[in-house]
Amino acid sequence: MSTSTQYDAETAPPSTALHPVRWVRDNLFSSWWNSMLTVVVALAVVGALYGVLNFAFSPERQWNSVTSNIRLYATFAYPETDYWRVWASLGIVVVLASLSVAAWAGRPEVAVSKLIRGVAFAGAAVLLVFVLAPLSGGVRVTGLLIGFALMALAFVAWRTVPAGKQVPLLAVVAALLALALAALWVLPSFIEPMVIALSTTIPLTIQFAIGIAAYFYGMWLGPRVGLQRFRSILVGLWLLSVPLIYLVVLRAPAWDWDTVTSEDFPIWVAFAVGGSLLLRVIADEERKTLGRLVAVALVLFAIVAWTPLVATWPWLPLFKVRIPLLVLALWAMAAPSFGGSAESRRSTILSWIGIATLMAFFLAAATSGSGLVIQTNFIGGLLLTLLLSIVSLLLAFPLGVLLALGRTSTLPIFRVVSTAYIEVVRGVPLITILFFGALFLPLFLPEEIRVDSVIRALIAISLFGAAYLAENVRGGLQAIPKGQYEAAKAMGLNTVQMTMLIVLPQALRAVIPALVGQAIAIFKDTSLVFIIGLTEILAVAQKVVPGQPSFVGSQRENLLFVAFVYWIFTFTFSRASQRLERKLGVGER
Amino acid sequence: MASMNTSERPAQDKQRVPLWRNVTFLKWMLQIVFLVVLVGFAWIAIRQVADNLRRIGLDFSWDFLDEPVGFQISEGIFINPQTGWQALFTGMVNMLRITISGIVAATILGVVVGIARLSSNALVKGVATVFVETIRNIPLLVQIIFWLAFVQLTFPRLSLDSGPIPGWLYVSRKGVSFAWLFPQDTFWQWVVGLIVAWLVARYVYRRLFHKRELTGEETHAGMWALVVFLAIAVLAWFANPVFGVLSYLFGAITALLEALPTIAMQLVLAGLLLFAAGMFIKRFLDSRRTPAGLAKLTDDDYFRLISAGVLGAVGAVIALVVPGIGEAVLTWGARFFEFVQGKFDFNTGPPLQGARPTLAQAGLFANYEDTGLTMSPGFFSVWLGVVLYTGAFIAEIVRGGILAVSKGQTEAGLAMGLRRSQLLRFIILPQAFRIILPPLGNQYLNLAKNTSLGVAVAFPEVVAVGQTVFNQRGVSVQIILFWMAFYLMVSLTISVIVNYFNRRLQLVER
Repeated sequence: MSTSTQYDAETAPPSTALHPVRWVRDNLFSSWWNSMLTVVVALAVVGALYGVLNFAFSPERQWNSVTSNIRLYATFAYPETDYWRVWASLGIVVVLASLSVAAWAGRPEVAVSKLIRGVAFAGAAVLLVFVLAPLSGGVRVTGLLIGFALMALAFVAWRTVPAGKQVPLLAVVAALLALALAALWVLPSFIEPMVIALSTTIPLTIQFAIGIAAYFYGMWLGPRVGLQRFRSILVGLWLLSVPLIYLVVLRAPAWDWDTVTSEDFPIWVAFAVGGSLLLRVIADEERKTLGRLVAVALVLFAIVAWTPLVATWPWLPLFKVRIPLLVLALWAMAAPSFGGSAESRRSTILSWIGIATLMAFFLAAATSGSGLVIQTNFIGGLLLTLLLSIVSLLLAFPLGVLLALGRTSTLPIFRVVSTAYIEVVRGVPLITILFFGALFLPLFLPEEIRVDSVIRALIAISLFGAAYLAENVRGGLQAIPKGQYEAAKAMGLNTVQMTMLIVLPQALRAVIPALVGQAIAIFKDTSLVFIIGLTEILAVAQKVVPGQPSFVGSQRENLLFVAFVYWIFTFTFSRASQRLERKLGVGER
Repeated sequence: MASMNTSERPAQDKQRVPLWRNVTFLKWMLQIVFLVVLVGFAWIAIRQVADNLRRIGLDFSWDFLDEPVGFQISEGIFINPQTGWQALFTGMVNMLRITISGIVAATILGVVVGIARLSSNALVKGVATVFVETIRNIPLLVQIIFWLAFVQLTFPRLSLDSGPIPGWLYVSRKGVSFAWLFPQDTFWQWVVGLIVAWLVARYVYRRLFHKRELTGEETHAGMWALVVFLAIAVLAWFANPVFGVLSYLFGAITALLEALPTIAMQLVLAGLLLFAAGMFIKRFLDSRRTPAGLAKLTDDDYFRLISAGVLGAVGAVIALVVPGIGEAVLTWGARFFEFVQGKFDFNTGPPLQGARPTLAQAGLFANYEDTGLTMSPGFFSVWLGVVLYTGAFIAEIVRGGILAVSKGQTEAGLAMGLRRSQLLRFIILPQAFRIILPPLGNQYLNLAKNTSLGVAVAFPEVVAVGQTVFNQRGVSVQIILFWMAFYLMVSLTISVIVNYFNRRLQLVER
C-alpha cells in the first residue's frame, strides 16, 4: 500500500473501483447473446419469485403455526419451569464462543465496498419483494420506502467513503446482532402481540451483553495468560462443557446422596489415591520396562472387566468402576512415553487426579435419575439437533483419528480391520446404521442395561461419522512428507510420541476445512433420527405442529421454516470454514 | 528407539535383545492381542444377541424369505407379494429405478449448473450460485419431505380433464403420469440383437478408422457405424424371435443345476476358492519377481500371502462342511436361469409398446402396468430430492474440475480460432472430465445410499419394505444384514463401473 505513492498517475494501473453502470454493461450485456440470456433468465427469475411470493404471502398460509410453536421448535417438551437451564446452557456456549473469538479470530477486517454492495443488494431485494408480493397498499408503500432508503444509503456511502477502506468485521457482526435485538424489542408492539418473542427478549439481550463482555474479557485475559496457554485452556473448557451441559445443567440430576456417599465417593477416593500411587511407581525413569508391562497387564484386565467373566466380582460390574479403570489403564500406558522426569511425573499424577474427579462427577450425574418431570427423551427440537451433532462429532473424532492411523499403519492386522470397518460403514446408508443402533444395540447388551434412544442414536451417528472423518484424516496423514517421520525417528522419538507430537498436528491442520465440511454433513444427517422416532426439529415440523387441530395442513410452512434454520447454521459454518481455509492457506501449498 | 543404545554397544549385542524389547515380536504380539480381544468381543456380542433373541422367543433363520407375507406394496413389480423374498425384491427394484434414473438426471443438472456457475453473465452465475448454496445447505430429508407435502397439498386433484395435456400428461396429487414405452415379452430377445448390432458396428468403425489412418482417405467411420447399428437394430426388432435359440442354452444350464448333486457343487465351490487363493498368491509372487530373482518379502507381504492362503483354505473347508451353501447356490442358480429362460421363449410381437396414462377409476391411476408411466408422490419426492441435492454437489465438482484445467489450454484453444462452445466441448470438458470422474463416482454412491430416505415418505424401497417385514415377522437382525449386503453390493457395483472408466481415461492420457 505504502509503495503505491511512488507511481505517478501515468504508470498507475487503471482504477478497479466498482462503477455500477460499467459493471452492468460488462457483466450482463456484453454481447447480443449475453443480453438475450440476461433477459430470458431475468424473466424466469421474476416469474419464479412471483410464484414463491404469491405462495408465501397468500392469506391461506398459516405462518402463525410457526410463530406460536417456537417453544416446541427450540426445546420440544422441556419443562417450562426449568427454562433457565436452557438459557444457562446457551450462556455457557456464548461465553466460550466469545472467548474463542477473542483467542483465535485476531482482528479480521472487511472492505466497506463489500458492505455497500450488500446493502444495495438488500435494498434491491426488498424492492423486488414488495413490488411482486400480493400485499395491501399501505404495507407495499412502507416496504418500497425501506427498499429505497437502503438503496439511497448505499449510494451515499458509495459516493462518500474512499475506496479500499476497511472496517473491523467483528464490529459489523456485533452491530447486526444489536440491530436484530433492537427489532425484537420494537417490532412485537407494531405487528401483533407475540408472547414468546417478548419472553425471550430479556434473556437474549442478557446473552448478547454477556457475549460482548466475555469477548473483551478474553482480549484482556489472553495476553496475560499467554495466547497458547489460553487457547489450550479454552479447548479443554469446550470439551468439558458438553458433558456439563448434557449431564448436569439440562438433565438436572437428582442426586441420590445415599448412593453418592456409599458408592461414588469411595470409588472416587480409591481411583484418585490408588491411581496416583500406581502412576508414581510406573512413571519412573528406572522402571520403564516394568512400568510398561504393568500397564499392559492393567489394560488387559480393564478389557476383561467388560466381559461376563467378572459378573460375580464385587464392584467390578458397575459402570462407574469399569470406565475409570479403562481410562486409568490407558493413562498408565501413555505415562512412560512422555519422559520420566520428576516434573512430568508430577503433572501426570496431578492430571490423573483431575480426570478421575471429573469422571466421578459426571458418572455420578449420569447414573442418578433426572430431576425433571419428563424422564426419557427430555430433550427435543433444535436442542436435540445441536446436542446430537456436537456430541456425536466429539465421539466420532477420536475414533476417526484412530481408524485413520490404523488404515495407514504398517501393522497389517490393524490396517485390515480399520479398512474393513471404514469401507463397510461408508458403503451403507446412515439409516441402516440408525436402525442397527435402535434394534441391535439392545440385543448386544445384557438384559439389565438399558440404553435410551437418544444415546443409541448418538452411538449410531458417531460410528457412522467416524468412518468419514477417518477418510478425511487419512488424506492429511498421506500428505505428510516422509522426511517428517525420518526426522522424528532420528530425534529418538518413539512411535507414540512421533504420532502425537509430529504427525497428527500437521495432518489435522492440513484437513481442517474437510473436517468442518464433515461436521456440517453430520449436522445435516442428524435430521435422520426423525425416522427412528426421536423428536428433533424436523419431527416437530412434520408431525407435531401439523398434528395440532388448529394447524392441519401446515407442513409446507413449517418445513420451509426448518429448512431456513438448517440453512442459517450450515451456511454460516461453510462460510467460516472458507475464511479459515484462506487464512490457513491450505490450498496454496 | 534402540538407536541410542546400539551406537554405544558393540553390534553383536543385538543378538541378546530380550523378547519384550524385540520390536518385531512386540508388533506382532500387539496385533495378535488386538485381534484376540476383537474376536472375543465379537463372540461375546454374538452370544449375547443369540441369548437375547432366544429370550424373546425368536430364532435366527432366513425362512421368512420363502414364507408368505401379509401386506401389500403400493407400487412395484409385485404389488401383492407372495413371499418375503418377493417383497424385498420389489423394494430393491424400486430402489434401483430411482438410483438409475436419478443418476442420469443429476448428472445432466449438475453439468448444466456447474457450467452456469462459471458463466461470464453475472445473472446466470448468480442464479446458479443461489441454487447450489440453497440446496447444499438444507438436509436432504427436509427437502424430500417438503416435496411430498408440496405434491400432496399444492398439486391439483386428479380428474379426467385435469393435467397439462389430458390423456398424455397428468400432474396431480396422485403423482405425475405420462406416456411411455414399455418393454414387452420380446424385449430381452431384442436386447441381444442390440448387443450384436453394437459389436458389429464397433468392428465396422474400427476397420474404417484404421483404413483412414493408413490412407488418409475420408471414410466416414462414425456415420457408417451408426448406419450399420441402426440397420441391425431395426432388423432385430422384427426378427428378434431368432434369439429365442438362447432358451435352449439357459434351459440346459437350469437342467444341469437341478440334476447336479449337492456334493458336486460343494466340491466346485471349494475348488473355486482354492483356485482363487492360488491365483492371488501366484500373481502376487509374479509381481515381486525381478530379473535377479524373487525380491525380499516384507512382513506385510508374508501377511498377505498367508492370509490369502488361510482364507482360501478356511472357505473351502466351510463350503465342504456346510452342505446348505452348495444347496442354496444350486436352488437359487436354477431359479435364476429358469427365470432367464422364460425371457427367451420364442416370444413374438414388438419389443416395446407405447402406452398412455389411463385412469383406473375416478381419481386413481392404474399403477405399474402398461398404462403410461406413473411417478407416485413418494417416488416423485425422493427422485426430485436426490436429483436436486446430488445435482448441486455435482455442479460444484464440475466447476472445480473446469477451474483445474490450466488457463493456457483455454488461451491456446482460443488462439486456434475455436468458438467458446467448441472450446468447451473439445478442449476443456475432456480434460476436466478426468479430474471430475472420481468425486463424481462418490456422488453416485451417495445418491444410491440417499434413496434409502424413501422410508420417511413411505416410498416402498428396500429399507421401507424391510421395515414392514421385520415389524411383521420380528426378523430385525436378518433384515439389517440383508440391507447392508444389498447396499454394499450396489456400492461395489457403482465403484467398479466408475473405476473402469477412470482407468480407461487414465490410459488415454499416456
